[in-house]
Amino acid sequence: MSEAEGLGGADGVRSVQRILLVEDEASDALVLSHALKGLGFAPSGFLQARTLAEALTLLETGEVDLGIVDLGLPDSRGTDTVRRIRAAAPDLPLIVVSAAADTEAAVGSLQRGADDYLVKGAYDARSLDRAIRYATDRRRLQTAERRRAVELERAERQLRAVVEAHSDGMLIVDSRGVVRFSNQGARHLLGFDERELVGHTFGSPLLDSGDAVELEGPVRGDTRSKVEMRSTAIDWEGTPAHLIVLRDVTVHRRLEERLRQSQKMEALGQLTGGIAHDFNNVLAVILNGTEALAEMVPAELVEAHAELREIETSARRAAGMVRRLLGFSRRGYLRFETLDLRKFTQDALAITRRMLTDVVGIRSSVEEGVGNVRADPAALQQIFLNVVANARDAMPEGGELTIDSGAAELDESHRARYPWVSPGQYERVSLSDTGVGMTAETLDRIFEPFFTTKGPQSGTGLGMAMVYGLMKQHRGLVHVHSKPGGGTRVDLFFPSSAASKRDVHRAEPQRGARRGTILVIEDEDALRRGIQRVLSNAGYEVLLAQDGREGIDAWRKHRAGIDLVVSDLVMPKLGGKEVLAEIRRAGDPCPFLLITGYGVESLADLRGRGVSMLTKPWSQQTLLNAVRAALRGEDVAPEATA
Amino acid sequence: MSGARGLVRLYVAGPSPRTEAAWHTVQTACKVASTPRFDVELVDVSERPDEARRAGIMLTPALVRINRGEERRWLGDFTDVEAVARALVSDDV
Repeated sequence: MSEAEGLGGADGVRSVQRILLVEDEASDALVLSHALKGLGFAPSGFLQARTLAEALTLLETGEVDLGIVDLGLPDSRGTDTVRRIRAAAPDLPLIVVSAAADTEAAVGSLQRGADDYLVKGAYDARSLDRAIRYATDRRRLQTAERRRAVELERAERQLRAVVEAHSDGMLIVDSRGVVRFSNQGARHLLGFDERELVGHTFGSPLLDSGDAVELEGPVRGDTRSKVEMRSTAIDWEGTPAHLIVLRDVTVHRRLEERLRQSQKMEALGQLTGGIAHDFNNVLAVILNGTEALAEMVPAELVEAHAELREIETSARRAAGMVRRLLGFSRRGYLRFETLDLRKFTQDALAITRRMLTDVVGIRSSVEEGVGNVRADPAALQQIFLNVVANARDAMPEGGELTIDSGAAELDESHRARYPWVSPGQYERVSLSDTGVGMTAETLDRIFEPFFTTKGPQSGTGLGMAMVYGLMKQHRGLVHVHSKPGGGTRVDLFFPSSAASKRDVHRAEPQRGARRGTILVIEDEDALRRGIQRVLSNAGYEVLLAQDGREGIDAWRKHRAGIDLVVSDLVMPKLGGKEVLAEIRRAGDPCPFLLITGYGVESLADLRGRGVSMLTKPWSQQTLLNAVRAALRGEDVAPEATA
Repeated sequence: MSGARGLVRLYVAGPSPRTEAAWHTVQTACKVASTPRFDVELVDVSERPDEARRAGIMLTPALVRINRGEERRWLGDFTDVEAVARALVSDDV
């Protein structure tokens, strides 16, 4: 075993390849080189420097694994040599070999950065080897520690950057609820901005379940947000603490509420539409029956006629309610025209003045530039009447009603609550009153059918439900703003129409309309008999069928002689639309009058194709008017019976 | 006599079904929490904002217990009477 191997020199040779020898005395350099060779270090790896300057140059230009330095150099004396070499090479294992045997020189060298100190002439191979191994191990450990510290610092910086950048607020609170750490998100959310939160009392979570709790704040700020808080018990620097995460959920809650409202209204619409349809059928039978009885009962039975009129009045009132319900449920039939909203508003104002008592002042500032809209004039009038009626009722002691208007642009954000609304240009008409206003709870329910804050004799609670439904049918929307004691403002938004105004063509009723043959298809026996009676009395020849299949058979048989087909929409076996489709497929352009309990937007595609519509319940006159118009080839709007 | 009774304050942001429920819970918990040692007070931060800010309240609802000069504070939804009662008697000397 060589001396080098016995002293661990094999390892030393592997890790230390290039040795910098800083020694100006040639003899001393030779002794050192020889000692190193004896330890197994290859002389090809020795770098000789006779001055500090040479040593520093060698350190700059190449890799050096070990430095052995004499303190007495021509250009540097004492421990300053060590300091400068250490500054140039912080990780270099460094051994001082000096003639000075005093402790002061040794301590000074070590303090300046040397790893070991040997006295010339007093060291042997063993002590040299030990010094080399000690120096290299020590430097390796120190270098590793420093690198770990640098990496730790980098990881900490990165983590801090992530925590600070996170939009959620993060707090660490101790067991007394005092803030020990906060991020920018928390400071912003709690209204602290750049001021530090640490040291302030936030509070402890009441429960440690980890479930989210909804709070409000910040108390410091002027706005109120909804804040979701989650807490987790943690250990913070050896003591129990809580990690609190805060999230602003204000927008989220608002969207949830809009969605809930939208879904509620949709569900209500479905329900009321279904009920209304069934009611219409029943009312049609009642009205037709009273009309028939009125003809049959002798005129001298005055009381009987009075009772019949009562029944008819009640039935018509019920029909009116059903119509308003249908308006809400989006099932009413509307006839759209291009209207000048400004002119319409002024005309409506003239009408509403009559509704308002003298003590209600009216101010109007409808803009010149308010454009055209596509709307049903009757529906628009109904909307105005309903809104003005509510304003009147809110000002029993008098007050002021203001009507103003303007252009508006609605963006995508409205779709969350009003899915039928497209972003774009709208015309706005607003009606404001100085009345008693509404609480938030009332406002939340204002569009619900039958919801009313007035007494049972004062209203059906269908007015605003109707406004909602009609605005929806116009692809617009209604906003209501109100505060208790602060009045109410109703904003109506109609999609702008780029079309120029055109007058609706209304044909003059022709006298002496040609009588003809009418095929009546209706599954309800009472209604079928009622229609037959009315038409026969008016001089028409009537063919009857009690469902769509029978109707088709009858049409095929008498096709050439049929002047008009009157058909119910919803029937077993084959409905009115299917009958129409089959007749048209056969190339017959025969006029078609569809009678419906809904009136339906899905029938909009049939308009202008020789198809008219009539809604139930109809009266004798409305039925005859519709039949005459259909025979004249007009596209007829269904008339209300009330 | 000062110090003979502690004080419990519930800070809320305006009247609502939720704040009413929280107030009811706190009042019940004060009765349940061993002895009637606390005076109970409701503070609406929307009506008394300066007072709430001076007290250092950051979010509501917040429950503050002041007993023997020491203050503790809790945040939550205050629907659990037992949890509130436990908090009121915690760290009791």
